[in-house]
Amino acid sequence: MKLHLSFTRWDVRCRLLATVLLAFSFSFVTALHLLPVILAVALGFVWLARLSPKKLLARLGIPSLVIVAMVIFLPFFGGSTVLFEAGIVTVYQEGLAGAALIALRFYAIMILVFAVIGTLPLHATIRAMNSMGLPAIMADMAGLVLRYFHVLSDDNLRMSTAMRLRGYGAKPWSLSSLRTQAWLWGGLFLRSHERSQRVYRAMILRGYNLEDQPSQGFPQRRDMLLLGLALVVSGVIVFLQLQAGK
Amino acid sequence: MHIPDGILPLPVTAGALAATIGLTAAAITKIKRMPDPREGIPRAALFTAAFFILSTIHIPIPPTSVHLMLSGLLGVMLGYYAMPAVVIAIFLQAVMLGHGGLTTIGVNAIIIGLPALLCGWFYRWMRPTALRRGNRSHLGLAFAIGTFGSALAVVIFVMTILLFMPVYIDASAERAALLTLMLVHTPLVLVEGLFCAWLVHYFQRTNPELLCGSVAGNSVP
Repeated sequence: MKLHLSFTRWDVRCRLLATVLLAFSFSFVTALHLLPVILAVALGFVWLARLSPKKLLARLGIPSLVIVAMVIFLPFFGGSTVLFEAGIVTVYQEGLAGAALIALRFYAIMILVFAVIGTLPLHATIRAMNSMGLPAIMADMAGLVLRYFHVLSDDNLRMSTAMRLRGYGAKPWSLSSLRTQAWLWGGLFLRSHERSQRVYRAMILRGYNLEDQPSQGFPQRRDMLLLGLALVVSGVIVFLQLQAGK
Repeated sequence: MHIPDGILPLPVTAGALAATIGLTAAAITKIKRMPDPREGIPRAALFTAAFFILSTIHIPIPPTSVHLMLSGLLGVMLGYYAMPAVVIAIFLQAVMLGHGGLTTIGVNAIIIGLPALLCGWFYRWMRPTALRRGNRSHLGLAFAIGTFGSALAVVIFVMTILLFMPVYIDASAERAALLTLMLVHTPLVLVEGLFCAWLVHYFQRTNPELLCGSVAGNSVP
């Protein structure tokens, strides 16, 4: 319980650093017997973040389709040692191992990212990255991007409705439809661009300047301990991989 | 067109991340040399949001699905702002949607961002000549840039996957995979060229200041 509370109050900068460290150490793993270990570490963070399995599975849905499409053919075309043969279908040992390695590494990293960074508000993530050295121009852009998702989505919906009311019916695979869509997005950019310039100038006139943000201060001892723990886990994973590779 | 986590070995992802940091730092140095670097931020953010939305729309082309990459368009519209814009969009897509990955941010940023930077340079170089020759020539240039940006992104993506996937695949299967991926993306490359041409032509007629990564006299050096 205490560990869970520490995790939810963990300094955002330490969370980001720990995630990057662990994710890269996971991607270093090539030994098949270490795959359950990295998956267990990732699931440990799911438990700490109190992320429900239902939410996690929902978030993994679409990314899973991409990875399955990428590895599904590997057992049939990758490698030279025949594991199983039935008619024209041959399953190779190296291909099957490669598919398992890619898929499990993918799930371990994805689960870790969803549990540790995905449970943070995006504004907090951007502010923490800015205090860790992300240039102010990029931090500013990232903050505005979050706002423009909604602006563009609303404007797109309004303009598409207006087009439909005037009799426009989009035909898939038609050049004229594509041209109309390009012009629709052109109109959207123009409208949103003028408004975004006005809003940004008004923000600056009112004293907005990301470069002058107050420092977030040094992380507390508890935060550094958790980061140290992540560093140790990453180090152990890298050590075990190096041992397995000998 | 985004490479997910877990596919590429660590040296490749770490090397690509270092290259992306270098390219982004170089782009930001160029941006800081502009008279008012903050002037272009709202527009870059707006295009980043649009890139984010448009690149999450998947078009099914069996046996896979593709999505718009907009490398050429980003380069034409944002100039040097394209590289930081791509990095931000790819990070947000990885964290919010699981599209791409955290360890492959560097690779994915190079796949989309490098063609965008090249397209931006090429467009700035060729634009005066194309405009002197008339509207058709400008439209052709925008089509060529949209097509080139997308085709280059596909080539970098396919080569990265085939060269660095941690499984030995025999030469004939590799060639077949290469051919399939190229064929699947051919309609997308042409669609991107047309989309870029019509959009650039639209801006040229309505608000030419928006093109070439310049805002209200804030020209790209």
